[in-house]
Amino acid sequence: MTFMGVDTRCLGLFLLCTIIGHSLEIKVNPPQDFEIVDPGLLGYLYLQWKPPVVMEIFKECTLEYELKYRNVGSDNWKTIITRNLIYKDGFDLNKGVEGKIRTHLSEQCTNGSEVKSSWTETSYWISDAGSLETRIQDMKCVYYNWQYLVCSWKPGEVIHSDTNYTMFFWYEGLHQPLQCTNYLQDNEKNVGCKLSNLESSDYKDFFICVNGSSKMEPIQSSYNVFQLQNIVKPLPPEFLHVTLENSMEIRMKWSTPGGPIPSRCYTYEVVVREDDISWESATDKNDMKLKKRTNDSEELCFFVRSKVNIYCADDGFWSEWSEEECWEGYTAPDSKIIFLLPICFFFVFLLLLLCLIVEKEEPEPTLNFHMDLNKQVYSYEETLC
Amino acid sequence: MERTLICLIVIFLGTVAHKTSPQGPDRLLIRLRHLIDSVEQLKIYVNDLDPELLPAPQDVKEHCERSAFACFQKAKLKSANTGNNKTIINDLVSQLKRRLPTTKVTRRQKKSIKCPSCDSYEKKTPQEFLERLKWLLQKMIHQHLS
Repeated sequence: MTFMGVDTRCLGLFLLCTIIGHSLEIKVNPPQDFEIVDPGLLGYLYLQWKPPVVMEIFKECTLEYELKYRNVGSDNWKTIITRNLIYKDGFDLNKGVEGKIRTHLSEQCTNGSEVKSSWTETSYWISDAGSLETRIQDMKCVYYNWQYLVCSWKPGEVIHSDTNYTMFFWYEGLHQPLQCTNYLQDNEKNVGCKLSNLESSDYKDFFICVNGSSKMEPIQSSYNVFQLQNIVKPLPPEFLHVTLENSMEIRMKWSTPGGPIPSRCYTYEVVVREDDISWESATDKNDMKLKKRTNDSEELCFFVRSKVNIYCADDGFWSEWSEEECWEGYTAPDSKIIFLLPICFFFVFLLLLLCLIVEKEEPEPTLNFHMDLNKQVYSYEETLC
Repeated sequence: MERTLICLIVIFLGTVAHKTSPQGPDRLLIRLRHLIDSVEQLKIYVNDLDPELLPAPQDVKEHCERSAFACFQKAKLKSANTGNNKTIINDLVSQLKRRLPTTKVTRRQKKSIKCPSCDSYEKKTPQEFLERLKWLLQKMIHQHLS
């Protein structure tokens, strides 16, 4: 009986300790009014919240917020930690967006370990009418030579004949989304758009929305986000040249394509054809040296294409192949002309120096003439006296 | 006589100017390219990095690229305690922390622009951190070459 008494007392004490311990545990509330706001920028969303109500002793503490977000249906959450009350980022509006946030109270504030609040969640779907079949298909965008953005699409699977599509775009720097002013058309229906003079539009998210209108039914919008430097298709290289360095080595040269892409942003792919055999090679420079396969090959040709390299962009499209350039027997290499130029300057310099020296000798006869005149005057005066 | 002398000077300068070699190696470009190579290497070892979130600038404003890069350098990127490949990672991280060569343009810019402090940028996972660092470096290279 005594044993059972001790047992009950221990249990009671244990329960009391748990209850007290629980109430002494430091807690922090999750942020308030967590919401996702769409400012109408075609995919650039604001995730914002207000600070939580905190106990008096924590009012001076700096709170941090752990925010997780993802497109609905995606497996992976993206995580950020911030002290701000807003987070702005670009999203794919073709799908919904969901987010969850909690407060972090740092170790310095709690005199112990970091304390985290519970999660508060929210989600956002763009309110869009229209069925999936009315949306455009196969949207493709290419930034030609870092100068002209051309986007093209195919009409939706099931649409009425009066449906026409319109394209809007936005990037940071523009006050509001703009509509395309130069449509590509097929049977008077918009099937693409060409944009140029996109000032300061690279290295940032570029948002596109293609919506449509029809008298018979609403058309569902389609959204795209990308960065322009990653979808560049350059022009092919120009002025190809093949020269023979010695009996077995060939040098191939080409010039950088014209346009705004800096020459050090390119990478090249070269295909060399020696009689019937072809092989590929890559380089970041404007020339390449290769060994001939055989000594008595009859024909040696090459062509090259360009792309933006990984030091200027993450991705891109290869340009079209250049014209083929073949080796045409023994031709004087260009490099000799460049060396001849300063030698010519030097000889012209010597020639003019010689002219100067020759010029210096001439004046002496004129000096003698003056002296003779003076002598004559002197003798005339003598006879007069 | 004077005309001939002037002609001589002009031709002589022409010879000298033509023979002058092009500017020395572009140190800033070489370093930025090397940094991208280091970041690509670190991405391979991302699972061996300490998972602590790090301040990673994004949407960097014009002329604040150097300041944003300095924030990337200050971040405590390091290998995990239990991680393998510690030596390689530490070596690559120390490459990131080397001071960037300056150019005339950047020296002028440094004094006039007010850029966000490193604290104001959100902290991200090491994977995101490295991606954003690479994007910043690509932007800086393109700007430097344009």
